[in-house]
Amino acid sequence: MAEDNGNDRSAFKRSADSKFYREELDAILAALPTGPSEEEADDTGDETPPRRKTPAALDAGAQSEPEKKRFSLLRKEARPHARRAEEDDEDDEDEEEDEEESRREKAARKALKKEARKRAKEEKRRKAAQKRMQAASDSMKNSHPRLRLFVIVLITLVLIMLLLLVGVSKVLSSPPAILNVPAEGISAVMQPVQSVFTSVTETFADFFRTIKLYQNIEDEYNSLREEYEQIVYDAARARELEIQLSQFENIYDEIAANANMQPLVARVIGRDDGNYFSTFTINVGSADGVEQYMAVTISGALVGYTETVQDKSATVRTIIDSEASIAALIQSSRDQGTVRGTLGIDGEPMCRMYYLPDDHLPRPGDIVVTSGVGMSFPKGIPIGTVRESTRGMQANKQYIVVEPSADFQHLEYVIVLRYQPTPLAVQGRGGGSDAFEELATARPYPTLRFGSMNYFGVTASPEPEEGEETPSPDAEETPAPEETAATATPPARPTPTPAATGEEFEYHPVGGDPTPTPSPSPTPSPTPFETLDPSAMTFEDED
Amino acid sequence: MIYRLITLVKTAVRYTMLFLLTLLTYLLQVCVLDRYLNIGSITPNLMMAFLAVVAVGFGRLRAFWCGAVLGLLLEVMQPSQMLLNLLLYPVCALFTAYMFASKTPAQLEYERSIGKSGRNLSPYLRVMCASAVNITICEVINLVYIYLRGTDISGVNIGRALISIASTLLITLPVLFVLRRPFGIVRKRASVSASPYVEELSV
Repeated sequence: MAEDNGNDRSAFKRSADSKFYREELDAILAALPTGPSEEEADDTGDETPPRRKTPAALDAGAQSEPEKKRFSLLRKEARPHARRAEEDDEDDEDEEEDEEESRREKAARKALKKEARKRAKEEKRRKAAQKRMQAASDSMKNSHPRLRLFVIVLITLVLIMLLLLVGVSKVLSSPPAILNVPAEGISAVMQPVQSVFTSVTETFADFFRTIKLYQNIEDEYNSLREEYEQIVYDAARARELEIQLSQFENIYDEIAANANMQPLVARVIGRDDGNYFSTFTINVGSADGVEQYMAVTISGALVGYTETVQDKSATVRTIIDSEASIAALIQSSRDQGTVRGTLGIDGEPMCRMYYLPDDHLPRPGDIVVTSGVGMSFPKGIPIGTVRESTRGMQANKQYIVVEPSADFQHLEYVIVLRYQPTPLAVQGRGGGSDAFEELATARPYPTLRFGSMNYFGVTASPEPEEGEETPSPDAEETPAPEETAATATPPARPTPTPAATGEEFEYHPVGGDPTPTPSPSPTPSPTPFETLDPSAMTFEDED
Repeated sequence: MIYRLITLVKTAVRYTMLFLLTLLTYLLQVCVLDRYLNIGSITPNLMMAFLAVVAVGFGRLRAFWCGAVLGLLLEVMQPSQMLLNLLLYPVCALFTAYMFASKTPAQLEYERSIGKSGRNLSPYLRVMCASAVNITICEVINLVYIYLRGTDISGVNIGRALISIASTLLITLPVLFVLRRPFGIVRKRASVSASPYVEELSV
């Protein structure tokens, strides 16, 4: 137990912070005798009992000296430790503690005072508000009660009357005019108000709609742009389809005119146009009935022939390829020759016609067509036109330049003529018999015969009998073309077994003359004109 | 004397404001909601929501006045069915005011004396209930009317009625929160008010 100068502090009841507050002091003082002793009372003669004073009253200043003395004594007795600390001048630590305690006590008292003042203010405010509310409610209740009642009843009655009048005017089929007055009055008042309100709301709505429209302008622009691009694409597509349609129409006319040759439309799916060769690939093959060395035409002109045939595709060698060699004839003079391409020779996409008779000079503009000799080409397919009548010379061979009719730069669709010439047709060119006879080989291979034995041949070729005409092409005036190493005409391939119809089909070009005739004469003369002496002709040297 | 005059003017201003609010409700319903705010061509009924707020905040008399004004305006300016609007709005207002208006102190005291709770329910809840009752009565009457005219009541009609009720309840909330203070629906602190009557009403 803490002791202070010999006294036990625990003997005195104290507050939590070891300080005695005013309330506690009041209780202590109340328990103490406050009046003077009997002797003192007798001496003074005062019969009135002394008034017990609170510390506030004692501190109020209206204190007599004896009271002050007694108060100080009481204070001292209540706080003996403080008195001892005051009496003990040598104990500095106790003095400091006391000062600190007194400071804390003062601060606590200040805070208490503040709180009390605040509570008093709030209480005052609340009471004033209560007073005001009470006054207001009292005034409401007490001010003009009759007037208030009159107004309420009047308004209610007016409204009920209006309801009745309007209701009756609606019920009656032909109400009197006076019944329509309320409705007309209300309508007259409300109509302009409603119009103004509607216009104001529409203005606001338009304003917000405009804002939303601005926000949507970008979306609308994008959608319009997409729509425009789609329209442009559709227009381009329509234009493309229109061009294709015109091409198909031309192709259809050509197919219709040459239906007996089993034409087949093919699309060019690959090209190999170099400086020396000119071939392209089409999307039809043996599965479609295409075979080797079938004529390929477009716009009524010969383009080339099928060279390599696969199941679903085929390679076509064009007539401007220097490897190509096609039997042809000049339509006007019926002079036969061989047309070859010049691409690999001089790089020009042109043709040359060789092996023409020397005594005939074709004219510029003469049409060159297929003769049907050699490959299974139908006869009469336009190849091109004679460009100039001057003969050229190449490796001691004379030629004329033929300009092809087909446009090799813009090939998209071609027609394959699956033409199969019949043996009779082939044989019929020479006026042979109706019975089928296997043609003799073009080059009979030699055999040696010693007695009855044959060597270098299984079967002996039939010896030509005297007087028997060897089958030859129809052109009597022109000799058979000499085979040289340069003229690599395709070897005679055995023609497939044809249908024995005995008909020979001639190609019908569609669309008139594929190339204009540059000759001033209106029609080419079918009969050959006077030919020049070969010795008088000039030759062009090969560059 | 001056104080009484001020009181008179204040009362007149309050009645005028109530009338203008009623007019504004009608204009908003007719000019704005019908055009710009509808759910599948079903427009919420702002007028019924307003009548519910007035019934709870002001009582029977003012609710009847507002209902009568709205009915008159609709019957004259937007006639649809004969006498339907003229009778429907005042009757609905009176009915909901009788059901949901605040009880007087005398009534509350009486209820306490017979053992009941003796207090008013939350004004917000009463406003929502009043609005629901108003719009339900309106939709039921319309359904009965079209049934008597020969149209079969199908799920579509009932669905539209339910949508109308739900949309009206939704629109009651903003109306309530906007008008609660002027109409005295806000519950004040017990320490400030002098009497229960003052606690509920500030007009």
